[in-house]
Amino acid sequence: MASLQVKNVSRYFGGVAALSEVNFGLSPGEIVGLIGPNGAGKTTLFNVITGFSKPSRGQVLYEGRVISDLAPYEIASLGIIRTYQKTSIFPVLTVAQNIAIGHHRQNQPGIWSALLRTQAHHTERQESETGIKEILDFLSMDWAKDYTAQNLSYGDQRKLEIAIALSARPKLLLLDEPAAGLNPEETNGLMEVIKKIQERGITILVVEHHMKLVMRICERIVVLNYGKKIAEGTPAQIQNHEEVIKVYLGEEVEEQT
Amino acid sequence: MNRGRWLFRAIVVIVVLVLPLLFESTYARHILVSSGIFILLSLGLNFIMGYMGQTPFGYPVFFGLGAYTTALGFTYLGTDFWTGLIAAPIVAGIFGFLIGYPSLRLRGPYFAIVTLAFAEIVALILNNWVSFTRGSMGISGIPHPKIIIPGLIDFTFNHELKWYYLVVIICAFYLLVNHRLIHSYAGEAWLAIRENEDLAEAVGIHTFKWKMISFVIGAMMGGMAGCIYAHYYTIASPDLVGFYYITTIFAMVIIGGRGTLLGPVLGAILFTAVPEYLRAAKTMRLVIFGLIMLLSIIFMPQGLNGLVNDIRERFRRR
Repeated sequence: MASLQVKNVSRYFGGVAALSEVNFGLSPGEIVGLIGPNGAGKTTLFNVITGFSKPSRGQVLYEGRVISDLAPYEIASLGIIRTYQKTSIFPVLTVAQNIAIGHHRQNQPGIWSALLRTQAHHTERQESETGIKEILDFLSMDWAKDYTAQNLSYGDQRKLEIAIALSARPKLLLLDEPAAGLNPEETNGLMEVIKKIQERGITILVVEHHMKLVMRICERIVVLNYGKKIAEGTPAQIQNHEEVIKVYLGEEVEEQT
Repeated sequence: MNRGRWLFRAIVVIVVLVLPLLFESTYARHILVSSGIFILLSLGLNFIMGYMGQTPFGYPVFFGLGAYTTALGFTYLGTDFWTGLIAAPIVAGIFGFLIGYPSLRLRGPYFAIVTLAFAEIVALILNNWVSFTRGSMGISGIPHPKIIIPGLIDFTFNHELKWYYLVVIICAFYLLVNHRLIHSYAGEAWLAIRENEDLAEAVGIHTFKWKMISFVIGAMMGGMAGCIYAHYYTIASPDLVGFYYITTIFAMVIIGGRGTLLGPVLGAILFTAVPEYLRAAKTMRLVIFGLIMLLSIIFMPQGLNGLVNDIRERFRRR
C-alpha cells in the first residue's frame, strides 16, 4: 500500500492558487525529492500534508486513510514528522531536552504519575534517556548533549532539527530544505545521514534547492511550478525533461520578425 | 557537591523555621505572612507564564475567585477554611477551563487581552451583584482557620506566628507540586510550547490540551492562594481582581525571574516588603515601584534569580 497519497490537492489563498490539482504518491521506504522554483508551492504542500494548512480541494491519504481533516499533532502521531525551512528548534533548552521533546509522543504517563512519581513516570524518564542517547549516537552528536541549543553552530542546529524529528519516531519524514545554508562538507554529511535514515525503513520526502543532493539521493523527483506538478520521474528523466529545463534555465526567446 | 547541596538545604530549612522568631514586631511577622501568600500567587502565575509561556493579564481573577468562593461559602453555607482550601481551587479551576477554552486558541498579546477582559467581567459582577456579593464593600468577618478535635485539640490560627507556619507548609506544598510537574514528561511539553509552539505540534504534542492543563493548574494555584488570603485578612473584596494586583504579581514574577522556582519566591518577598516600607513615601510609592520595575527589566532581564545565579557563578570560579 502506498505510504502517502496526495490526491488532486488544491490550496487557494484568496484568488491565488498556491497548489492546483497536485497528484503524487510515495511508496514505503523510498526517498522522493520535491523541487521547483521559489514560490512553486513546496512548503505549502508540506503544510497541507502535515495539517498546518487544510487543502481547499482534494485529499491527502496516509496508508489508505484520509488525513487531511486531522489536526497537526494527530498527523504527527501517525508517524508523519516534518522539519522546517527556517531553523526550528527549542532555543534555550539543552540538546538533550530538545530530543526528549521529540520523544514525547512515544509514552504518555499522565499528570498524576508526575505528581506522585509513580512507576510509569520513572519508566518514561528512563526510556526518554535511552532514546536521547540512541539518537545522539546515530547522528554522532554525543558531545553536544548538554549544550544549549541556541549556542550550537548553524550546521549543528540543522542537525539537531533532524535529531528532534527522528526522536519522534517518524515512518514518513518530510525535510524542508535541510541543506539550506550548509557548507559543502556539511552537505555531504547530511546526504549520508539521509541515506542512513532511509536504511531504517523510513520513507522520506525532501524539498531542496541543492540539485547535487537531490539528484544523488532521491529515487524519484516531483517538480512543481506555480502550484502545478509539471514533471515526475527518476533523476535522469528529470534532468532531461524539457519543461523542467525551461523552468530552471528559461527558454529561448523567439526572434520577432 | 551533593553534600554541599544537602547542607545548603538544611540551612534554608532552619532559616525559614527560625525567621519569624527573630522579629519581635507583629508588623514584621505580618509582612512575612503576606509575602508567603504572594509567593503562592506568583508561583501560580509563573506556572502559566514562566513554563508554558502564555501571558494571562487577567490572572488575579483566580485569586479573587478563590477568595470569594470561601467567603461566600462561609456567608451562605457556613463552611470553614479547610473546606474553602479544597473548594477554592476547584472553582478557580472550573473558571480556568471556561476562560481558557476560548482564549488559549489565541497567542501572545491577543490571549493576554482576552484574559484581561474576563477578569473585568468578573470584577463587574463582584461589584454590582450587591445582594449576593455585597458589592464593593466586599465580604468581611471571614473567620481564622481552626483545628478542632473535640476533647483533644482546639487550635485557632489567630496570630501571625501560627499563620506563618501554616503558610510555610502550603508554600512547601506548592514548590513540591511545581517541581514535580515541571521535571516530568508534562513539564517538557510545556517548555516545548513556550519555546516553539509550531514545532511542538509538529512532533505530536497536543499543544491545546497541554496549554489547557497548565492554565487550569495555574488557575487552581491562584484560587487556593485567594482562599488563604481571605482567611488571613478576613476579607474578600473586588479589589483582588483589580489592576493593583495585576501590576503587583506581574512585577513579582518578571522581576523575580520567569521560568524558575526561586525567582517568583524572591520577587514576591521583595514586592511585598518594599511597598510596605515605602508606605511612608506615600504618593511617590508607585513612582518608585515603577522605577524599580523599569531598571530591573533593563539591567536584570533574567530577574533576581538571574542575579543570584551570576553571583553563584562568580563564587564558583574563585
